[in-house]
Amino acid sequence: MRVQILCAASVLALAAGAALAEGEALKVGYVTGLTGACAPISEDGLNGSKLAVADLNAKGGILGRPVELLIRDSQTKPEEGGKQARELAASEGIEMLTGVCSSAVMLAVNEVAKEFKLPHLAMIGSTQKANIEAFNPYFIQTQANATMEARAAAEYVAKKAEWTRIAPMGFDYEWGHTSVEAFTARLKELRPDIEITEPVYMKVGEANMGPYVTAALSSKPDAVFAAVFGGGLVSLIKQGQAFGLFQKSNLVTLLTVDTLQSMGSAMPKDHVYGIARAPFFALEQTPELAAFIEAYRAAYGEYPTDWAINGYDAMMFYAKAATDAGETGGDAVVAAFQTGSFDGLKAKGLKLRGFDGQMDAPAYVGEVNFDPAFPFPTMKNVEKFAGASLMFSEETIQAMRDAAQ
Amino acid sequence: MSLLSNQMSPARWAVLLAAVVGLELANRLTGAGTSLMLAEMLILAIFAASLNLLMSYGHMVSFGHAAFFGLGAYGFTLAVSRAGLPVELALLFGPLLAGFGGLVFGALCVRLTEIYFAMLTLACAQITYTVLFQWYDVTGGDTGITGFMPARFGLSEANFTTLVLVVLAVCLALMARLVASPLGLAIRAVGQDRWRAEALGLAPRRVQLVAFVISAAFAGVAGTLFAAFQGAAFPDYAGLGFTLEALIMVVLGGLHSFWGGVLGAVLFTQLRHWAPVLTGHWGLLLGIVLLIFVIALPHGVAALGARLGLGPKGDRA
Amino acid sequence: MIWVQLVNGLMEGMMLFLIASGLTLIFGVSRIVNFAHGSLYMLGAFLTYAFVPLIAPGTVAGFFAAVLAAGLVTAVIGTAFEVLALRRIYGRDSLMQLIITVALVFIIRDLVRWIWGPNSLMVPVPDALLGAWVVGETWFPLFPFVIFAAGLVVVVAMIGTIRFTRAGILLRAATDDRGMVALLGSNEKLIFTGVFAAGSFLAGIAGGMAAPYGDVNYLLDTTVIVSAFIVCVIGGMGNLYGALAGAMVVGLTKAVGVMYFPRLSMMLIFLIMAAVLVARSMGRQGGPAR
Repeated sequence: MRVQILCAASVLALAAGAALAEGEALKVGYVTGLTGACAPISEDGLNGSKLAVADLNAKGGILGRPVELLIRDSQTKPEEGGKQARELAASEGIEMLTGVCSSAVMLAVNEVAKEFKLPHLAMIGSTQKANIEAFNPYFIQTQANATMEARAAAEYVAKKAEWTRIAPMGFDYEWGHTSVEAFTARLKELRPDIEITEPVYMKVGEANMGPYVTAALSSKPDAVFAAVFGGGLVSLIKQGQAFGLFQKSNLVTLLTVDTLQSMGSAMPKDHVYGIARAPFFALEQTPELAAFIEAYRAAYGEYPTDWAINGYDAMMFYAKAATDAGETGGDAVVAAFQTGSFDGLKAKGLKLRGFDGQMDAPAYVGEVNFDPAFPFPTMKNVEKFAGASLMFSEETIQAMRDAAQ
Repeated sequence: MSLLSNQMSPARWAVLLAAVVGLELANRLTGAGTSLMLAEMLILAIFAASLNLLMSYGHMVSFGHAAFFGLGAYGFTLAVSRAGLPVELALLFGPLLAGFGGLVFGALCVRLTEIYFAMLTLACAQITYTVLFQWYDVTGGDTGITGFMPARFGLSEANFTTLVLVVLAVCLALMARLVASPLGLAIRAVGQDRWRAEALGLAPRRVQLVAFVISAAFAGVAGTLFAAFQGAAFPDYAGLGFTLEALIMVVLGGLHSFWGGVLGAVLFTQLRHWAPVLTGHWGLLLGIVLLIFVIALPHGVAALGARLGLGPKGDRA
Repeated sequence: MIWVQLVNGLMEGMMLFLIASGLTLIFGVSRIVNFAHGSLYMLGAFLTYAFVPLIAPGTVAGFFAAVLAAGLVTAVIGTAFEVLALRRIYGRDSLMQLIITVALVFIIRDLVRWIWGPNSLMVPVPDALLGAWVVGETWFPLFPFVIFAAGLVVVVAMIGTIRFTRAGILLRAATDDRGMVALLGSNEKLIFTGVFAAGSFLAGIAGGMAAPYGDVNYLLDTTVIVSAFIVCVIGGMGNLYGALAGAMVVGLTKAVGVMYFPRLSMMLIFLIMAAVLVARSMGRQGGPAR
């Protein structure tokens, strides 16, 4: 059913494009994990991007050319994503790459972007490695990266004066480790008095969280910071309840709309704090956002997740940069990204720092809340942390690059 | 083995030559996208051929062959990115590290037979994968190593594919020579009946270990080329996915045949390439096609070719 | 804390045994390395998701009825696969059988994604099993205890069947010597099909029973299959009691290991498996390890 709606929507989008934009199709390479570990969030991102393409084409495309997404399934494998991106770049005449979800795939695709001098817009994948040792000038991160998110969480936790002991935990891979390390370092800066226990790491996608929750709770922390997402996070929240996680302590974790939807009524009523990238219910309620939510619900029958909004924004940012540049690809677009100001659904007036390809996109942190207006839990008292305050300085980035050599 | 013996008839040489010329023509005439697809196919053909050597001649079934593909990729990548060696020299370190891994793991594995041999290779491969995945400071962890060299040594798509074709030809020629050599005969003898081989004065474990190391080193050649192809190395290369793909290729192509691995690699990579083009449910399509192939072709594609008089005859191990 | 970790370990061990028991039974009798066993487990979890709202939702009896139903449907699907595909290639190279089970992995994964989508799904814990026993500061979650108890019931039923029924005698005989069972006039094909059905059923109920504990997603198949292999290998392929011991070793190692070797818990289990295999080869110098 969903697939049919999706097809109908894309057919409509193409028809609208054909009617209004006359020029040769502007091809965008869209490499994303439609199968494999990234499948749940990749589809949301793609749905958002498709709506952006429909909107753009309804208004005459970009520089008069209709936009066409060439969608490839990376299977959430870096070698497959790299291969797909390379084939698109070498033989399909794409002018931009985007859509990537997993960190490893993003770095593989980033190599292709460098090789073919194509702007590469990151919208789901968020490893800071792409800003640091794997950086090249074609990399454009349109959202807060993993480190910025963790630093936002640290800012939020630091304000909880009554919390004096924090237990970090995370998936045992790059994202989990960088998140825990960035969170710990920032929190120590802000609150030297806070005790941070030895982090607990578990296998990516671990289903039995019992041993790890027990280990994290053994030091009687006031809060657990968990760099965990997707199915593992769902397991953590469900199983945590039976271990007293939400009675004895608090949980601070990544809570994007898809996780909120998955948890539904099984979400604890209290003591859960979420970090988000673009929670539609907590953003500035502009007419554009209202129109997007309405169109999204009409097309896909559900509320847009953070990934959907990121997918929409990335396409719109690209359209703006290309229009400013008067060109659709290459160095001109990258230059336009570095000078322009970008209004997205998630925030307005965003700027890109050319030094590490990072946009000063905000991160949001709030408390779980059951709002009767929505069929799933949302968040209240959501605090917006401006991107500029979360980014490392250029000197710090340079030092990290040197250290990585 | 017939390839280099007098049984290699002119007709078979002609088929082989036609295949090479056909591949090179496709590589040169159909654009960069095809070249990339062919390069991947030919690299995996080397990988599958290395496993085929182990399985078809040594009768050792490995559930962990990707360990050596991964070690090859990382041996090369680390030699460039961490040791700062020139690329030409670093190329040697892929097969070397894979061969060394083969020596260590092989020494443990050849003590066992049949399913336990396979299971110990699985354990060794998973340990390799975990080390690559977790040793962040050296291997870059799950996000791997990128940007250490221009992809494909900076060669054009078509030129790189030609290079891979040449390497594949050299590897196959070496393998054919090995199979026909006294060592190859010993490997086959131990594979078929280790007790009888032992009675004839061979040391079965030592022969198996040599076969294991050689096979691992060839897998390392494939891994090295794959890292160069992508300009990147990831722990995935040593994961269960590549192991299973190689197993499928060998079985699909035809066990106990010299060409099984190569044919299976061609068939499987083409299936995997085209299935997602046809349908979003490529897994379903792939599964069903595999099912039909296995049920319909009891001895793999190579045997079908032989029955039709196309492939090499008399090379049944 | 060590007590909670022991409970965690035992519960994980029991789940692992339920999965591995089917795998090891099938291997013992038919010599098939069934890569699709994790897929059948996943299927059991998704079917339980589908059945739970239909059968007395929220009650403990309703939940177990749904699990049983899911197990039966999984058994039917497994049997169909055995009869339609596997049976055609018995007697061929055992690798053919392995590849055909890999094909089934692709098929089931894609069908599950097609029917239920890629998102994490939730099976609610029955109301009566929510919560925990609180002893001082320590919380002992209720649901894992119940799963452990239910697992014990399955184990006892399974051992009883194998020891005391005619089917069990045939199964033991076939594990020891297939050829002899066939010579003595038993229908070998029927035994193979029966074992595959039983193994599928066990995988299905294991998936169903674990479903409310975590989330249900279409990648459960690979998450589970490697652990199941490890358990079988540690216990000796085809050895049911060995699998029980292996499952408990793996479950407890994971839970207790996280306290002492937090960075190693992923590799620890593979190291145990490798050590067991190497020890096996030392013990039987010169003979084929079986």
